[in-house]
Order: sequence, then C-alpha cells, then structure tokens
Amino acid sequence: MPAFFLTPAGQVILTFAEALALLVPLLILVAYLTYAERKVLAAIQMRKGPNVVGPFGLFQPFADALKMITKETVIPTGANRVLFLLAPMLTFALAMLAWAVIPVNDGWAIAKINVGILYLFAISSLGVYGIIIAGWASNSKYAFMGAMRSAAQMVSYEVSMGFVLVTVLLCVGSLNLNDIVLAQKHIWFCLPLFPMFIIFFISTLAETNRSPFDLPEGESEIVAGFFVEYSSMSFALFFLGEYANMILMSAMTTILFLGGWLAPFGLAPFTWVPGPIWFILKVMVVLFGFLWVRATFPRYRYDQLMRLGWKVFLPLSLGWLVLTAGALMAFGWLPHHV
Amino acid sequence: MSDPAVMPAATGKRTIEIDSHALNFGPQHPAAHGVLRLVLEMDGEVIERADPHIGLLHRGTEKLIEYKTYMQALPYFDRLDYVSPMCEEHAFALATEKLLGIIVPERGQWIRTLFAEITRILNHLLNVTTYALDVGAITPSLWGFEEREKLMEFHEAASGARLHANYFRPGGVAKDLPAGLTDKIAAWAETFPKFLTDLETLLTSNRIWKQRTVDIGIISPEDALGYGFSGPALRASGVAWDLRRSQPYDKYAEVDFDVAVGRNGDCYDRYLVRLAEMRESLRIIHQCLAKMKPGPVKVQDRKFSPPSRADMKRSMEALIHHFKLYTEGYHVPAGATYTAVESPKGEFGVYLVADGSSRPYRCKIRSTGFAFLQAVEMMSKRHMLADCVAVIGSLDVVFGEIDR
Amino acid sequence: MLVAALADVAGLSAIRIEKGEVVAEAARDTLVATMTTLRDDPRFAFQQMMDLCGVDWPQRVPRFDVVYNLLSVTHNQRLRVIVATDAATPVPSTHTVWPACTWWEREAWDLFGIVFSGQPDLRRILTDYGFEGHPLRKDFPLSGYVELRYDEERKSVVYDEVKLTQDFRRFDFESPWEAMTTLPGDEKVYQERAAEMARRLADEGKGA
Repeated sequence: MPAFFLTPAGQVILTFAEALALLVPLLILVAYLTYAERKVLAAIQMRKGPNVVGPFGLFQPFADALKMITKETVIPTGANRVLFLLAPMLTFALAMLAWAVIPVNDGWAIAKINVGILYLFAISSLGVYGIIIAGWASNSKYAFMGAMRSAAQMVSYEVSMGFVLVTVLLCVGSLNLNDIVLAQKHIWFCLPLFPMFIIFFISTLAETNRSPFDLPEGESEIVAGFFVEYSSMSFALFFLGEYANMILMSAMTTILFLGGWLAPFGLAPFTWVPGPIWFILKVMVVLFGFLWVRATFPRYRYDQLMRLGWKVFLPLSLGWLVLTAGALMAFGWLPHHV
Repeated sequence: MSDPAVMPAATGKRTIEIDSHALNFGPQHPAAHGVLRLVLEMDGEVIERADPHIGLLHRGTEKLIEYKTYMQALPYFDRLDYVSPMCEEHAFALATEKLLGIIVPERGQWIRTLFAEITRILNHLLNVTTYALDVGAITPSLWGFEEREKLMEFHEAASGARLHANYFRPGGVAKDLPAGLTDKIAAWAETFPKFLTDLETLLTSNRIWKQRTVDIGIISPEDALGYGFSGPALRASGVAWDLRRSQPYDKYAEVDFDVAVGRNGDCYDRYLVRLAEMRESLRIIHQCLAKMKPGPVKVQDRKFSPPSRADMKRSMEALIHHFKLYTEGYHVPAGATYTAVESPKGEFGVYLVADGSSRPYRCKIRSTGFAFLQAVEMMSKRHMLADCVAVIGSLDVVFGEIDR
Repeated sequence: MLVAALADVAGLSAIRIEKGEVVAEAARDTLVATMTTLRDDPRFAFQQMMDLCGVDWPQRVPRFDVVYNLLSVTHNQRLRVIVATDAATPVPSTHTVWPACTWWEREAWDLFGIVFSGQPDLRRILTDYGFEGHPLRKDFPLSGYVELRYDEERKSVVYDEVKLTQDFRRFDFESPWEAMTTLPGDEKVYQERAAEMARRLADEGKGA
C-alpha cells in the first residue's frame, strides 16, 4: 500500500473510495432486489412480472427510479416540512450506515471495529426514528397509526433479537463480526442454534416490517402506514431504505448463522469459489425466504404480533440462552479467550 | 376536556383521560371494497363505534328503471352487483315473468341455472380471494383471478360480454349457447376442484389466517335473522336457509346439492361456507350439463321475445314484432310481486310494481349487502381495526348493489 | 292457511293472495304491535324483514305505500304488509322489531320523504350530504335539479343548476292506433273493443 494512503488525507480518500465501492453495488443490489421481488412473487402467483423494459424486464428498476425522480414531491398542508423531509433521509442514511461493519470477506469491512455487532444493533434500532418522525410529521392519522405500530413492533422484536445475539456471542466470545464468521469454520451456527436461527429470521421479518409483520404499512388497514403521505423521491428513499434493510438483515443472518463468506463444509470444490460470492449467494437465499414468506402468509394483527414477540419469542430465546450458556459451561465448550 | 364541570372529583387517585379519535376509513381505502366510507371512533386500535356512510355510488337505478321499458331495464341489473351480474338479472327476469305469466322453456331454464351457478363461483372466487387480500395474503387473489378469467370467458361466449352480460331476459335467455361451449365448461369443471384444493392449502389450515378470522365478527343466528342476513353470511351462523332449496326457481328443484352451514357465525365460517358452496355449485353445473337438452331457449310468443334475424328478412310480421318490442316493449299487466333469488351474496329481491304500461311503475331492488353493512357496527365493535377489515371482507359487500 | 290465520291478527285487513304471494294491509297506528305479533306468534314467526320500501301514488290519497316484505325461515313463507301514509303522517318505526329496519327506513325517508316516528337515526342514506328533495317521488324529475362540477376559480366542487345540452326527451311509444278513431272497414274491431271496455267497467263495479 503506498505511503500516501497512510496520511490523514489519504485515509479520507481511501475510506471514501471504499464506501463508494460498497454503496454503489449495494444500491444496484437494492434496485435488483425490487426486480427480484416482483419476479419471484409473479412466479409464485402464476404471472409474468416485469417483462417489458429491457430483456426480461431487466431495466425495470431504472425505469422505476426515473419515474420516482420525475414525480412531484407533495408535502401535505399541516405537515412539519423539515421533519417530513428529514424522515426519509434518516431512514435511508441509517440503512446505508450499517453496512460499514459488514465483512463481505475475511477482513473486508470498511470499519473493522471490535464491537461490530453492537454497532449494527444500535444502528438498526435507530431505524425506528425515521418511521416515527415520518408518521408524526405527516399530520395524518393513518401515518401516525403506522408509526405507532412500527415503533411498538420494532422495540418488541429487538428484545428477542438481542437474546439471540447474546447466544451467538456466548459461542464466539467476541463482538467482532469477522471473528463471529471465523468461529463457524467447523459448523455453522444455524445447526446447533437452530431454534435461535428461526427466531432470528422471523424477528428480522418483523424488524424490517415485512410480511407477515407488515402492519406499519398494512395496505388494507392503514393504507400505507407511515409513508402514506409521501411521494416521489421521499417515497423512493423509504423504499430503498426498506430494501437496503432487508439486505442488511439477510447479511446479518448470514454472518451470525450461515457462516458468512465461508464455503459450506470447507470441502474442496466449494472452497474454490471466492468468499464474497458465497456471501452474496447466502444473502440471496435468505432474501428469497423474505419474498417467499410474503407471497404465502396473511398479515398478523397488531395484538397477535405483540403476543408472538413478548409471550413466545422472548421466553423461548431467553430459555435457549440459558440452555446454551449451561451447555457451554457444563461441557467446557466456552471460547478459550474468555 | 378542561371544563371543570365534567372533571371527576378529586379522589386522590390519578385519573387518566384517554381520548378516542375518529378515523375516516374510506371512501378511497383499499379495503373499503369500492366506496364505503366508515367513520370509526377508535380508542387506539380498538373500534368503539363504526358509522358506515353509503351512497357514494348511488346512481338512481330505481328511478332510471321507471323510465325504461322492461327490456331496457334489464342491463341495469348487471351494473348493480357487478361481481355476479347474471344472478341479479335472474331476479328481475323472474319477477317480470311472474307478472307476465309466461313460462320459460326447459332449455332456457337449464341455461339460466347453469350460468347462475357459474356466476356464483365467479362471485365467491372474488370474495374469498380479495377477503384474503384484505387480511394480507396476496397470492390467493392472483390465483383466483386467473380462474375467474376462464369463467368470464364462458360469460363472454354466451352473452358477448365478460361482465355486463345482459343475458337472462324475461322469457328465457338472449340466445342459445354457442356450439362447443358446454364441452368447454365441462372440461373446466374437471380441473376446478384441484384449484380449490390448492387455494385451500394457502388458507384453510394456515395458522395466521385462522388467527385472523376465527372468532372474529361473530353474529348469532338471532341477530343474523334480525338484521335481515341471507345467503352465506346467514348460513355461516347456523341457519340452514337457501332459497334455491326452500323456494326453488328455474331448475333448482331438479338438481341435487347440499346446503353448507357454518356453526359459529365468524369470519372463518363465512369463508368455509363459501368454499363449500363453490364445490356444490360445481355439482350443480355438472348436473345442468348432463340434463340439458336441445330446444328453444326463450318463450316462442313473439309478443315477448324478439324474432330471429333470419325471420325478419322474410316475414313482415316478424319485422313489426321486432320494431314494437324494441320501441314500445311489451305491456305488463298491472300487479306487484316480490321475487327473490339466492344470489351468491344472499337474497337478492326485486319488488316490481306494474301499472299495465310498458314501463315498470316501481322497481325496488332489495340488495343483499345493504343488510350486511348495517350490521358492521355491531359486528366490529370492540374489535381492532384489522378485524373490521376482515369483517367487511367476509360479508362480501359490493357497492354497486348497496348504493343502487 | 296463512291467510286464514292472518285474519285473527289485529290491524291487518284486505288479506289476499296476489300471484301466489300473500298480501295484507296494515293499520298505521298499531303497526308495531301488529308486526311484533307477526314476528313472535309461532303461527307466523316472521323472523326476517327482508325489504322495506316506499311506493309513490301521487293521484291517490294518502299518497304513499310503505311495503314490508317479511320472511319466515321456519315456515318458509313470505308476507307482504302494506301501510298507506302521506308525506306529513309518520309511520311508526319497526326498528325495535327487526333491527334491519333502521337502514331501510332511512332509505324510504331519503328517497320518498316518508317519516318514521320513533326512529332515532333518520338521516339520509343514499343521496349526497345536504341533498334536497326526495328523488323517487314521481314529481321529482329524472335529471334532478342540481349537478356537480369542478370550479376552477374556487378550486372546489360546486353544485350548479342542472343544464342539459339536449332537452330531456321521453318518447311515448304507446301504440298510437289504440287511441285512433275507427278506420273505415275496421268497425268490427271497434265494436269488440267497446264491448271489452263495457265488460271491464262492469267488473270493476262488481269489485268495488
């Protein structure tokens, strides 16, 4: 590495370049996630999906983006203009920010901080602010109800998600995401911690407001929930933020339970494929799970969602945490450096 | 709130005031099934009071019918419940026939029975699947619409129009079925049970679906009767009442079918009853196809049914009849009748008053959903907002007929 | 059988069968008691009030009919009860007998201007908020009195007097020759028609 990149100015340029190298593919991935969602849903629902713009409709995301940009931004009278415009930016920025610590390959993260998992957790918890601000600033009852639902839902499911994380941390003994992946060299955590894996996956659905937990935007109840009043780019930012969050959560699932960039079983033909490809493939599998669930299930009701979060997932994850800790202690499997 | 007169006396305890808020649900709401405006008074997510405002689709159909001949009045019925057009026509055709005292030929009756049942499946498919959509399941509606499209092709083949058929006429049907249509219907009827099974795998035993519908919007048999419920909504409450069985019209007396009855009167039972009814309709369709024989499809009295085009080229009398029928129309003897059919949604009635002229003096349309919608407040009280959506979806309301 | 049993019910008169349907006329003042009997008496058990509607006879006094179509699901029978009233006289509300009546009564009020006493919720139901008149009355024109349009200056939807670009036409297709004087050579038809008229008049006299 040339000496220039070690100077402060060089550091800035390097970080900037790294961020760009991450964000641009990420945004393209987000765009194609919307395309993939439409195609997958279409396949499940026995129809074609986007197939007009470009070959197989592949340029559809760009057409959508162009449409969004050219639309008029409507700000309702009575809305708090500053907050109204701030909310989508906040949501989008937070969704992007979290990616700083995600290791796509061994050591490939922009910020190699030792508390990566806490950072992720903190950033994803902040996401609720964007939604609450949007709901409040819109000055609409539907938006407000959506925001209330969203806040309650995200807070509830973060609790059990927290316990799932603690279980994983117990098995790893480090908060560094890189270490978490490397700890899965012999066996992916999704096997020994299978119930936690399921709880985590379902909680990520709730965390990202996806079906069957899409109450904050429940189309048939509160129309579009917190972003009912949004249009044009401010709507698009919410949209991008939501899908970026989906990818983020899938990446988290991959890192925590599916062995990150590691090839399955460490067997010969698999290890020839470079790590980032494995990482992306695994993320895609999890994302497919998101879409599949959306096509299959009806929506939960508000109180049922709360019940599931507090009365089922919380005791279950707490129980498994204690069980795991007990097993680790009893068999002396605790990580060595603790 | 700050008025000291209404403040509770200080008891030393902290009093918390919770203000209910009003929510304007619709008329442009995805779950409003058209143009329902529901003014909800809510306590958080819980509904305290619901006041349905209807009439946003009021087109004055009853008034318009008074200015049209009987034949011109018929197409209005397609536009009432646009989801089950032929069953609505059926009621008016039967009412007019009763006043005229004419009897439809065998084949005409079989065709009407056949298409009434096709329409029933058409309606139930839309209702069940959009109801699932209201509850958040998106796939059933797209599967269902695929199947509906096939049925609408049958409508189109018979009448020339997918939706606004104008096919059942006083005295029979507009024209005979085109060659080969019965075979197509029979072929479709073979594949449909598999589709229903597929649809059921998505919903019937789905835990979330059951959580959302079981014990939601319960209506007791007494309440259901008092509120004038009919059709699947009444049967789901456990009242085995089906006009096709108890007051049969056309060929319903000659076909064999079961009346599906629910037990709890909740949203889930209404869903199950509709699914079972689709299977029964399929049985009736099979029987209609088997028992139908060639023959005239409308009364042969030229005073009531128009002559064929071929006759008009040759016969002066036929031409005169045609002209008279399409300008003046037939005169209906003075009298009144209330004739009801079991439309897919329930009892759809026509109270027809004739004064001896060629135009109805009064044509009151007894719409099914009107009675259902009145009970929405009772059924959704103390339920959550999402349940209210499920209740409306399960009642199968279409605003074309409610607002008339 | 039903007809015979109905004769015992107080307040019902002119019980008859018209085209296979049982019809009865009811006294306005005792309507609620009559209807309660019809619902609760096990011989009738009309659990359902399927339809309530108004009919306008402008030449007649009193002007309106209120028609109740009742249904008994246990006896599988229907009954039509007709109550006559005019615009000023209220009809007792039967919403206490069948809750379904509320909306149907609102509709009859909205479309005909028939007043129901004891009905706590007699708002308009089908017509617009602030609508004037009762559209199903025979003297209400088909085109109505007002129409809606968007006013560009006021930036809102406003009511205007209805403007028809073409005159409202109502073609009278009733046979012209039925009113025509007898054509030469058609005397026989004329005689038959006169005889028919005389016979019909005599029938009506008998009926009265």
